[in-house]
Amino acid sequence: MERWLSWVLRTGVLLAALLVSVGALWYLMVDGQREILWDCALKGVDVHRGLSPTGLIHLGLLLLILTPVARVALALGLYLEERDWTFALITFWVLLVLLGSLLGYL
Amino acid sequence: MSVWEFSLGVFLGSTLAGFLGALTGLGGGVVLVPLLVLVFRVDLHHALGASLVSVIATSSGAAAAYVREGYTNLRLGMFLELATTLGALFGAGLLGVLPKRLVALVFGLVLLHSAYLSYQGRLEDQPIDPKDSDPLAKRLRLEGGLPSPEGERAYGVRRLLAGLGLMGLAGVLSGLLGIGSGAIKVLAMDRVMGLPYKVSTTTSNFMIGVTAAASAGIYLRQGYIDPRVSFPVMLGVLLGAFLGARILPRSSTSWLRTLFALVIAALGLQMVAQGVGK
Repeated sequence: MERWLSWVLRTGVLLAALLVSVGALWYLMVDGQREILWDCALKGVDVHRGLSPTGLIHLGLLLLILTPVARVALALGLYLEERDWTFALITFWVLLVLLGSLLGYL
Repeated sequence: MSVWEFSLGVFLGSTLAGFLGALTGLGGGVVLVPLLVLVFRVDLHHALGASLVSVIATSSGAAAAYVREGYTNLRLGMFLELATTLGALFGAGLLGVLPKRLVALVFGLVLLHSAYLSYQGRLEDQPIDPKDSDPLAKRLRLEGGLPSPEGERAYGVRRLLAGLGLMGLAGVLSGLLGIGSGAIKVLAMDRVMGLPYKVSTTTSNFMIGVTAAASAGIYLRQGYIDPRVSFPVMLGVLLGAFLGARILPRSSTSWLRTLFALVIAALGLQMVAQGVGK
């Protein structure tokens, strides 16, 4: 179990960091010289979706947030395979809480 | 301030925070939020969102390495996540309702508390005895073994329900303040549940990512996670934590801990002043 969990965590963080870095460079190239303005364009959550510099960063951040979720889902699968029903139930509940929190957004 | 200047400044500050956080074991989140709010004038909610994201990044990155070393008690961690995730949902929900000044005040108090803890320093390991384990912990097979040169030494888990309760509180603070609240998690496992220190710190780190992910859904929905603030924070903290972890084995950190504790205390006072000020 240790090896699998470790792999999921490492891959998730690296991929997310890569996506965020690419988006960040793109964003700085496009908007770098502009004055930073905080209050505009932040009212809606949808602003950062789609194929844009901030959209790409946002996608990377989403991937990062999903990494621990994937770790819990993997643990659930492994406990089911071991027929450890108590811990399958525990991880299943944690997964439900996580998905419940995220599904409200996605 | 131009976008470039802001991003570079936040990136460098976050690198330093991640570096010191990894060296001292206090985590970077606690200094990040005051840095963003007091120095870069970022809105408190967006500072908390960026901090939460960086907490997920560092804890997942570190856990990937720790889990392989065999200190992390996976079963105990997953069991305690029952409480931390529910607490985190509640804390993140509170954040939308409470006035910002109150949140700043609580943040300042938590900072002062962790400065006190790190000033106090690490206490000695309690003797580990597998015999006086909690019956429920035995039923759930939560006990583990500590890898040591002489082979695995079995340890027990005491006061499971008290630990579970404290984990709920750690979750609330994590969701409310966008931090990992590793200090409380370690306190609960080390002091209350009687686990070896190394097991407490690695298992705490293991749970932090999942705890923070539970609040993240609510933060996203409220628009607290702004990519423009989050990216320099996330990349900076990751880089700093990575560097810190590489230097850690061959550095003496006692004076650094004291210095960092002073910085945290100063920032804590500033945040409290913001909270009670006009």
